[in-house]
Amino acid sequence: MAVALFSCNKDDNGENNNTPQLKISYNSLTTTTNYLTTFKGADNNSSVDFSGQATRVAMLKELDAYMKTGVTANVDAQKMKDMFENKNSAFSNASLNTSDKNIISKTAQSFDVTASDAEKNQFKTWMDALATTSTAHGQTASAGTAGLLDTKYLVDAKGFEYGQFIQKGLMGAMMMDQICNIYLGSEKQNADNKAIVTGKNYTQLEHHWDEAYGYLTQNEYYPKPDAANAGKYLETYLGSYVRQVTTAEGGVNGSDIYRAFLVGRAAIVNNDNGTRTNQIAYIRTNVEKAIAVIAVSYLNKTKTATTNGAKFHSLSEGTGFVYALRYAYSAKISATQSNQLLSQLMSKPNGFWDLTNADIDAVRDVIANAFGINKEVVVNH
Amino acid sequence: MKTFQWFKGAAVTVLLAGGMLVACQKDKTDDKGSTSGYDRKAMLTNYADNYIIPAYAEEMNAVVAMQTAIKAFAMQPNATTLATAREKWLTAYQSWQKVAMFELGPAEGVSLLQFVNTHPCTPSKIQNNISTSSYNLASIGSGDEQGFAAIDYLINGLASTDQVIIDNYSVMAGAVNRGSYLTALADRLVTLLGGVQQQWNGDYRNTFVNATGTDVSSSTSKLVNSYVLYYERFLRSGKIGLPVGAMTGFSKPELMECYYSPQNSRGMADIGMAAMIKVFKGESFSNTTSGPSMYQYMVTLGNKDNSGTLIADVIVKEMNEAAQAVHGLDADLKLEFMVSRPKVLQAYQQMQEVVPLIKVDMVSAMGISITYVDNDGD
Repeated sequence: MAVALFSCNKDDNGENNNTPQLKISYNSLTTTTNYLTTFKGADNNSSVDFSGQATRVAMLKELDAYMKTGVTANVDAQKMKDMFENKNSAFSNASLNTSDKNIISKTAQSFDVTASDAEKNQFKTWMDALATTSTAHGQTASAGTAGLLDTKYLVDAKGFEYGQFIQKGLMGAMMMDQICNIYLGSEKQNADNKAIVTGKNYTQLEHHWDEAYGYLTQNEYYPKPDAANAGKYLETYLGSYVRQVTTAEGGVNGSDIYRAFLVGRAAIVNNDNGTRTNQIAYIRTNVEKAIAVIAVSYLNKTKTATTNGAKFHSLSEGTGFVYALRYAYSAKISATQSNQLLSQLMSKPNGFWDLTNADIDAVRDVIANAFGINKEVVVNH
Repeated sequence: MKTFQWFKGAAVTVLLAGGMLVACQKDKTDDKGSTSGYDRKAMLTNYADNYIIPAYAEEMNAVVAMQTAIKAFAMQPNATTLATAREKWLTAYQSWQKVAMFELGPAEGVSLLQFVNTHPCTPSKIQNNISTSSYNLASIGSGDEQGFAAIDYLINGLASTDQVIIDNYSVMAGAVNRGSYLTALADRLVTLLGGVQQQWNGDYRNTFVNATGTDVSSSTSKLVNSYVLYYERFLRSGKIGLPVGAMTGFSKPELMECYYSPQNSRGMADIGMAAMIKVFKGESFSNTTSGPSMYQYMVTLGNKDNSGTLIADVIVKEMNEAAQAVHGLDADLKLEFMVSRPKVLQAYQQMQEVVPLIKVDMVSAMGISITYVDNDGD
């Protein structure tokens, strides 16, 4: 009776606290519980290992940094693709070059082979376009002319900032897809949870859960404030954007998603499938919703931005997130619908330059309605 | 003994239940706000009914009169019709200054401020629109092709003498297209402002006065955010800071308002400052009767500065000083930006002193947050 009284929400977090003798009690898990030290192997060392994910995030970071140099110099399409595929020692960090990991094999991996191939090629096409656009870095952009806006955003003749399509696109195609469809998907979640993997101190199932976590953050809890910089946080990419969406914007808080990761991982230790299933659903729903809120927010910010550079930068980010939505689990905005929305944003003769507020609202409203979000929502970054 | 134990047990249960209730209600929107108990609905109602709606009414009348005068000029370009067009344009532009700080709700939805008053305009884009007759004034990057600044260019800046300006619309090649484009700009302002006015005269007024919380979707948050943003970016920086190069170290007069009729420029800034003060104090649009306002809210909240003065009064004092400093500049700011930079920088500094008071002190006192950012870091 006491447990029921303390539950204020309709959803009691899907935690089954009535099973006696839980190895890890769910009530012991808080917003600052240390993910790495809470889950230990029989050797009393952390059983959490997401080094593969950390490696790919580091690769994305170098790719991102390289793309941004297009503002001051020509960038090379082959180099970007080499980073995408981890070929030809494209990274400046030698350990990345010798790693057996790459981004491309984890891009749209949950799609069927043909569709996955098409999406991988989409990224390569954007890389080609970015390289071509970068040759115009010395001039100012306008409708029909590639170049820089506000002296810092590199856009093509249609106002497209390809670096944003690629970066935001990979947050969906790699990170959200890997978390929600691959690692939390039924194949990986059916992995063995009894035997310890040879040479390691975790079961296969425990490891897959941690690999999902590693795409959200590589820190010991989430969100993690930067002690050296008040108001800043230590996540990157997907984890950073998911954190920015809170209950105030119609989503959940980053700490709620963290709790679901903690509880799910504890449920695996507890052999508590029911609780684990609930956390999977919670993570999938709310990571997707956060991306939807962010997409709507960027579309709204486009209209209020007062320079063309700020407008098209915001619009390019929003477009990247509209693209990313297809990678949610059982996506509310499928690839077909996402492509339709992208077409509405991108296919006018002068691309973004020809859009009106009404055009942007039309796309925004489809997403807002699909998720039941306030269509005027704006997220503070 | 038994009774005592039961009572103790019941008391604990009640405490527990009471604790649970409080925890559950944490999420409920607090419509009176922190600890002040201030009646925000009364403030919002005063702003809507006594200032915003009458301000849009005056602006619409002025813009429609401008449209009529511009059409008359385009149809029969001569010294008289040009003079009338200029006069009506100026009146409409001055009227705009009094309502520009309410970029929220319907205005925000249509990016009103950008389409009405982006300055500088871009003459090359305007010329291109005129010669190709192919343009879409609703497209998101087109703020610099339309609005009051573009009209300034077209009726004041096309040439250095009035006769040649008139010739541009009568005998020179492209005259018809020029007249059409000028008319289209006037039509666009009527459409845009008319749409916004219609919403304020319709459903939006009630939506506005009833969103009485302090969360980001509340009207107080939107009102204060649009007010502060306008002051910082469009009044302080847009009219003075950027053209005088407060950050860059050198003047760039072409960024100013009324660049092609600079004798109007300081007057425009005067009207803007006066309106900001009037709005802060909750004065009605048509006279000086005041009602519940940001000023009154701040007085009620009671925040004081280190010398014990109410922040509300410090804000009024600093705004008046800023207005005075601006008014002390020459009517022709283009001249001032070029030859009296130090004096303009002092006026800028006075304007700047208001910013932390409204952007930090007032915002935090009211328990709201600044929701606009200049750039997002990615």
